[in-house]
Amino acid sequence: MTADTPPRLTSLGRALAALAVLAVAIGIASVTIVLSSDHTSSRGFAAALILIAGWGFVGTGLYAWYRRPGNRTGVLLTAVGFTWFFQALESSDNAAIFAIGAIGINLPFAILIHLLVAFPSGRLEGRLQRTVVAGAYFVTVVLQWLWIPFVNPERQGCEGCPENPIRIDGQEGVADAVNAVQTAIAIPVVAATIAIIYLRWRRSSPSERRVLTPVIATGALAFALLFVLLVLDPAGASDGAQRAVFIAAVAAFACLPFALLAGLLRSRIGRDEELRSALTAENEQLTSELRAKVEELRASRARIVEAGYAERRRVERDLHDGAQQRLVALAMSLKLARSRLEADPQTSAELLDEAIAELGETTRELRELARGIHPAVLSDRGLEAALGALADRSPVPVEVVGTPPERLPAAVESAAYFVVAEALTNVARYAEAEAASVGLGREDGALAVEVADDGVGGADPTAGTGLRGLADRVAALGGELRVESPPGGGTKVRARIPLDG
Amino acid sequence: MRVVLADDSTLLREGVARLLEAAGLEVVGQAGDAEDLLRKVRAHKPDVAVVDVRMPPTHTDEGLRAARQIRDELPDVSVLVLSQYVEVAYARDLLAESAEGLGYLLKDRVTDVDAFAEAVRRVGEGGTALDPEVVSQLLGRRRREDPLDELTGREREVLGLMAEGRSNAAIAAQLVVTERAVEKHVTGIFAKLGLTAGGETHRRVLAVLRYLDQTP
Repeated sequence: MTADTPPRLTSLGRALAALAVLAVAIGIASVTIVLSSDHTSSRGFAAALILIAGWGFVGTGLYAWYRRPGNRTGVLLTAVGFTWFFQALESSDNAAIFAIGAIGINLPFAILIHLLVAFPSGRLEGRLQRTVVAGAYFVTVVLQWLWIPFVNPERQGCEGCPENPIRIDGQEGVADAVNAVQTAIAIPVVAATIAIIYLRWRRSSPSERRVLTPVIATGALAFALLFVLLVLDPAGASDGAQRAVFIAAVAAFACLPFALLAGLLRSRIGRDEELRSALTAENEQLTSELRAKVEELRASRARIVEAGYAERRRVERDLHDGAQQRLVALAMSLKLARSRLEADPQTSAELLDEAIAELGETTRELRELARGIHPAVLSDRGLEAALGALADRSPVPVEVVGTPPERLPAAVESAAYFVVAEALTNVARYAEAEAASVGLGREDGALAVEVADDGVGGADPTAGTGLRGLADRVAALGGELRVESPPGGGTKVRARIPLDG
Repeated sequence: MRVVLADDSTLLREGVARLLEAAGLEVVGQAGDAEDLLRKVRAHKPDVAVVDVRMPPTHTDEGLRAARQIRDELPDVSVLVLSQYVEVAYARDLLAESAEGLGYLLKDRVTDVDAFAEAVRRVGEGGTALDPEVVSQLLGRRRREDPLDELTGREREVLGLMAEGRSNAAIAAQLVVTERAVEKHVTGIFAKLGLTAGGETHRRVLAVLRYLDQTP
């Protein structure tokens, strides 16, 4: 994915832009040379062909290079484009420039063979591929250099061509011999290239074929024409026929970069489709996970709301049945005491004592109720003091270890407190334990709470509402609560509460 | 004995003032928040300041903080902190250095007028008053291999009253025994728990509390 995202203003981008400017300049110079040539027939056609193919290769090459910097295809395409302009040099009336053109004229075909054999990965694989490409470069570079000093353009059928400035006179036989060797090597190289491309196409999957077909069809046509051209000469065909095939071959080569561009675009489209189907699959999975999560959240939210109502009902009952009843009884005691104040001071004094005792009991009850709703010591002093107080009140000896010294977010402290409170209540009620321990610790941005006892175990976390409510409370903070309670093996309640909410 | 009162509830403050005056104490100033309290304490230099824990602006533990400040600034002024709830943690904080001239009681205790006035007097004279609720939390704490199990029932009662800050005479009066009997119990308790402490009541309180608080 990242390789497909064009990087902005990178050094590569700037270098490629410079190459593009260079290609434009070379293209204009080439056209000038061709149009001013006095030994080139149909100059306009030749110039257009050179320009279309040269710029086509450079343009598609730079684009491919930019989009897939790791793939050599772009570099090779660009190289084909630049070397393509050697053809224009051969139209020059200047002998030196003409000679340079003659040296380089066949190079783009070797690079093209390299490109097509390595397409689309950009890498050569196996000995056959490497041998074919090495052969192509040998013919177009080494043998070309060897051939140049012995060639006489006029003898090659070029009327009006400049003189060969480095010609060793009277050695046309050597030139012919080198030319024969070139042809002898070029024929199997081109044939092998066509075979390799054909086999690749045969073996490729339908989606790969979408990428390969335009490239391979055009490439195969171009090389088939080149092949015909190569065998025409030894077969003694007429110059006119050779020329016609040559123009057709060049035209086919000129189409090649656009076929490659089409292949590249199709390959992008193919990639998009693969990406889209992968994304769709991932999306579906995420959606179903999300749906499950939403369902879970809806259920836990409902339970939290229900737990809230249940808690309010409990507070309401405690207030009505406890404090309010006591206050009503108190009012009656006081009224009774007042009515008997004069007649029966003894009884009224007893009633007043009762009322005072009742009052003390009422305040104690209210204090406990308030603590159950929210322990003030927790907000005032934090977890350590609050858990210490819980441990002090537990009828089972409790050891508290690892309380964080610093204050944590209020919601985290509160959740941890109520986890410990509920767990210790359960220890006292059901566990028949000798001792219990409360352990706290920080791990990866979360508070870990563990309450363990050495009691009878066998607690079912789904049975009671207490632990379920706690699990929801912890889950609401993005944490989780687990209960381990093998029969006879004690009970461990563990909670993990993220500190960042 | 001169008293400054601080409570943000006017009703309660007036009530407590009336109770204390009926018990023969002189209420020289009343404050509705911690700042006002500090101002009045500095101005009147009372024997004792009776302070509610929760006061404006945060209604958490302003009273405790004011108490600490008074003790730092004016060591001669005793402080009695009243609270709707009592916790060992607060007692531990308050008694960190000394138990002299310090009290920490549940607010409910004001209804037992005589005991409350007695506690105010005791604290005002440099003694200690620790709420029975705190003491019972400390005594009730379950320990493995509890050394307190070795104490007799009467010794436990005496230990509790000692922790509240009562003198031997007060303990004797409460339990309806002679002061000598109390002294004997105290010696026995100290021996069993391996404690050593001087005669002064407030030092004894600290020794007992430290012992109870630190034994796991």
